[in-house]
Amino acid sequence: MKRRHRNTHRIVWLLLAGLLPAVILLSLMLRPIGPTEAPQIQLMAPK
Amino acid sequence: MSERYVPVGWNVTKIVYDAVVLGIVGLYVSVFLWIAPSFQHATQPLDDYTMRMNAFGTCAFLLLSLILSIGPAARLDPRFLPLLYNRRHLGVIATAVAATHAYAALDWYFSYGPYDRFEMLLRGNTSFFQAHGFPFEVFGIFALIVMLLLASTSHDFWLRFLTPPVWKGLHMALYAAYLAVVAHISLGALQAAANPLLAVVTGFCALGVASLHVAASRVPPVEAALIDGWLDAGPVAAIEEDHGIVVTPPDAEPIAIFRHGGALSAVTNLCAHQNGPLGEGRVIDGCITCPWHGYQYRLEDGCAPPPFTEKLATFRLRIVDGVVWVDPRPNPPGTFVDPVAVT
Repeated sequence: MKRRHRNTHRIVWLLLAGLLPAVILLSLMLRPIGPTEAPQIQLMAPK
Repeated sequence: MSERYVPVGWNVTKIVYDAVVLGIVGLYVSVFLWIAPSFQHATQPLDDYTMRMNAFGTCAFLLLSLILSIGPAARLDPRFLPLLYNRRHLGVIATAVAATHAYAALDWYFSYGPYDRFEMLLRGNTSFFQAHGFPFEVFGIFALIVMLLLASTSHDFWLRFLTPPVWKGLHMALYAAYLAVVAHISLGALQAAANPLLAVVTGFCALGVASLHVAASRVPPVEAALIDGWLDAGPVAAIEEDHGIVVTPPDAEPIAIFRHGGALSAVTNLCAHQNGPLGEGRVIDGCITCPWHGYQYRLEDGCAPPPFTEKLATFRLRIVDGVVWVDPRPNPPGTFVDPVAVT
């Protein structure tokens, strides 16, 4: 692999080594807590 | 190394490789569909369509992680080189698996609306400013387009047509596609995942791939010092028969020195095919053989044997008191240089 190519690879992967875990962690932190849908209301059967 | 266009130069190794990969993909999807129901949350059971979509999606992600790991793994340990040889076949299979995942998603989630399903896919969700409910599909679409582009240009015809630097640059788009896939999973499936397994696997793969690349790029080339314009390449005894060593001149590309039939020859360390590390290869049938894809070159002039036309730059050598010296000024590719006999 050419020296210039190897340097580009190194920089790209150093960036990705930070970006990839950051994306996963950020998305996990922003996950909604608790139920995400309105509770199903059970209506009583008409008498 | 073909002198004319053929779709795929099939041989027994490639057929076995592809059969094994397809077998593993089939086995993975079957096992996933068998055991995944036991991991789902009791209140959020997944239907069969979603299960199939997830099976192909996770399979494509794992294949992509494997493909991206092969290069640095082979640099760190030559035992991984056989995987590198047919990596492009693995890429095409991963693209087919990813396309199956996309088709399953399109067929299930976007087929029952009032509009065309492609229109639904692109216009159905525009919540770009919130994490939960973000239209994560855009990342998947981007990654799939990149993978389709790379799979369709993976043949050597395109390598020659585009030239190796352009082709290599184009295929580095896979790194952006991988980031997009991780974002696609993180903002999509991870948001609704009922157990932490998917987050653990995604994090492990992403960190593993990035760590391997960073580790492989930290192996520094050993630069030899220049004395009277010649490089000290070390003792002759350090070069095994039919093997090579690599010396790196200051601020220049590395040189590979090979020993064959009791004589030494030097060529550039960069294979004419994809800049593979020739010095990590061996001499087979009297020719330097690239460890990546098996391209071969004659020792004395760096030319590929007929009918092939690739040529490498050659270098002058001399041996003084059992020490090999190399002139770092490259000869024009294909220049004949008498091999230096080891006395």
